[in-house]
Amino acid sequence: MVNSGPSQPGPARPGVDADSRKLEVLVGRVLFWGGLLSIVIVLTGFGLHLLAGAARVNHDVVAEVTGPASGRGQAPGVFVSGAQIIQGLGRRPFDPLAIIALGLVMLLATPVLAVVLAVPAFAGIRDYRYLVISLVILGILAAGFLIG
Amino acid sequence: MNLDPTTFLIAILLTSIAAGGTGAILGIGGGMLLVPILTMFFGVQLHYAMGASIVSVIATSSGAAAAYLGSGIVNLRLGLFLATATTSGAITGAYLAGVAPVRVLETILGLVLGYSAFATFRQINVELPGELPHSPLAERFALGGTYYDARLGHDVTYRATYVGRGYGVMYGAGVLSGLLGIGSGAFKVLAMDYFMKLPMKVSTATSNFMIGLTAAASTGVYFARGDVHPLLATPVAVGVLVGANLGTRVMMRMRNTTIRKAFLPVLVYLALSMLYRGLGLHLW
Repeated sequence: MVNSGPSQPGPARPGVDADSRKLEVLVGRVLFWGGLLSIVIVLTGFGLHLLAGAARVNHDVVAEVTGPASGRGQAPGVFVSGAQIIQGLGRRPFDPLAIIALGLVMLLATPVLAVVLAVPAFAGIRDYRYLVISLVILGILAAGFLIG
Repeated sequence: MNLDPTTFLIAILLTSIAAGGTGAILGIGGGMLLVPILTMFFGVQLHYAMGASIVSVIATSSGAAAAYLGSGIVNLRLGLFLATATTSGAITGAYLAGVAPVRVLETILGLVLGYSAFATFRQINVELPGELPHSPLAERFALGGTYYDARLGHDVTYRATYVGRGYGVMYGAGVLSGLLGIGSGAFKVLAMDYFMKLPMKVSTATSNFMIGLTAAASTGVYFARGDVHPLLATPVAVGVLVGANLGTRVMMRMRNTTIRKAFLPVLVYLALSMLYRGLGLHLW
């Protein structure tokens, strides 16, 4: 990138073309709104949990997180897969902790979504190097979720 | 601590706010402070503490990165290029966290905290780098750019150098992030600022974008292992997020580094405590 043209303060920057700037703004918005929505869902789940009479569950959970290591993955209130979360949401009366888990998964998906959206954006501006780099990141993330 | 469960969760929320605020003021992120505090003072198992911390890292990074992206200081291409190193490092680290003995993790965390205490002592170099060696990798991947520096009042054009070394340090930063459930922003900034000779502001802003992506990679592994507990992660993530926002506001008004120095003993104390635990020296 070459610095050309007159200096301009603020968002319009020399050396950064308008398309790249548009992508930055898009990624910023995805991170902001994705993060906010996730936290709202987490707090909603937490509120419903408190309304549902949290005392007994809290007792079990605190005993688990502070207790001696037990069979991890099977702990009370822990969700380890999307299928389990959906099951928890479908249960009647539904499990408020499943709503929290949904919010947490959305939070973790937010930066990933930003990269997903960068793929067509890089294709649009014919920056194939960075199209490939974005795909490589998504591949690494997918590998992590699969081995995890 | 023997607390009633509800009091326990409220205490964790308040502690997380304090840790998030302190982390923002020290510029090291709340996760690195929270993991030792949760394990030492609340008796939380290390794996649950790391699982809750890594979630708080994504929440804080998303907010900060969004603001930096809006103001145009993040170099998105640079961040994506280096994220291939940090995400693969994070997955390596998160996998190792599942098999490494707790005491090894505690020792490494103690060392990382100790390094952060040391790094906080050093003054941040605000000068712009002079003539730099040519880097073919930087050329090939267009790792440079321009940003408007509000303090200097003009545009600053920069180009990365020593890209290979920086990439290696980034992989290491990713491993630490996954291994300990922390953001490891200090190491990402180190790679860009110190090794790749990028402007501090660009390094900090771009590192924030990468922290979220890196943490997302390891959170996937933590989540599938059952280390992310919803009830513990909620007060931690919300607390750190609130605390970090408050801390950033305090920091903006700070005229000197006095407050930073006041927090340094906390960092040193946590570092030594974790080392003692890890090495099995039960002094208290």
